[in-house]
Amino acid sequence: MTDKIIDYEKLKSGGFMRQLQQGQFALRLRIVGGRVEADQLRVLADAAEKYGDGHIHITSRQGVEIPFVNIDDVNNIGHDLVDVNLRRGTCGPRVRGVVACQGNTVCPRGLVNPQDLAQKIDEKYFAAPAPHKFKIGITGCPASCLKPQENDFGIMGGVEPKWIEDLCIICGLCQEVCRMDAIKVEDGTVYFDREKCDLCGDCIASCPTDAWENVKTGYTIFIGGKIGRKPKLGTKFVELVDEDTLFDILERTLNFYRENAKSGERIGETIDRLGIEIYKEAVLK
Amino acid sequence: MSASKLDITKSIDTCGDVCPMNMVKTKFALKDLSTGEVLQVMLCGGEPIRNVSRSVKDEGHRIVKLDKQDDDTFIMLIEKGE
Repeated sequence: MTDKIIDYEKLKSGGFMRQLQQGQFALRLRIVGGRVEADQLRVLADAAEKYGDGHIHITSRQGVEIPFVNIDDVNNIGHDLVDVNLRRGTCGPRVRGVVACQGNTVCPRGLVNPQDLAQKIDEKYFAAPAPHKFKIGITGCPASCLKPQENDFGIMGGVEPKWIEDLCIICGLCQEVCRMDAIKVEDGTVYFDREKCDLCGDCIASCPTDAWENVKTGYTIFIGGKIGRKPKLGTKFVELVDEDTLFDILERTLNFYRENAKSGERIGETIDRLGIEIYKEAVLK
Repeated sequence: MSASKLDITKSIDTCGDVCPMNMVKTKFALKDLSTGEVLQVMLCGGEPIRNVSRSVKDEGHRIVKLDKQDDDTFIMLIEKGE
């Protein structure tokens, strides 16, 4: 086949990426939050042997790709995978696969359920058109294992601690466990500096008398992160919003991006050009 | 309440242990105690104190006292739970 009759853009939007080798494609799959079921893995292994060269590539964003798929098999491979609900991924100027840690489904430190949120975001926005690539990453706590700051739209679980004087025995443990130097236990009382607090909840989790209470669980959002040639961490612009608000902000963010981006601009670059206040005004209504 | 007034049943030193060994040693030491008895654990600040205090609480025991020593290590008194 010649390049003229292959619609590379269409293949790309359906997760097929042209390889260095003529006529060979890597098929990217739609994986959400790095979760793959055992039956899917078996089918993937079979498909890699049947259509590829027998190996699978694990991507930097928790994805799975089957390389060395011949152009003639592009239509066939999907049929084998669909039985176990493995769908084709995407690339190009779109909302990409959502990455997420396991959060409170597995991790003792997890404050929210990033897997569940990733599924919901994927269902609503997967492969939605955007001016350029748009990456979303969700991490369950400020330890940031899933690096939300590297994503165009990064989400981090957090909790708001509140000190309850009556329950406190002034043991000083919270001061010792706090990594942000936000708690001082002095003169028989506790001083809490909310500005320094990173909302990790270590004080709540460790307090022996439950004198630190979780008064709010929510999502902190980072905007405009990217790596690439000009790396830049996302900017934290709102703390501890609930799920409905998060979805409102995401919807408005994509609209803002589509309305304001110049050709080839990632959202961080658009915001740098226009100013973060303009963005905040548009999305935090 | 001071450390001397609490009846310490058992004492372990986890300074020098790497996480999660301090947590594991604390867990095993508590296994040998009866409900209400007190374990004294010597541990280092930072990660060890974070992990031990969390897991002790998760498993239903109670930290009754924490004393910072001059060398920046800690003495933690844990009352065994149900």
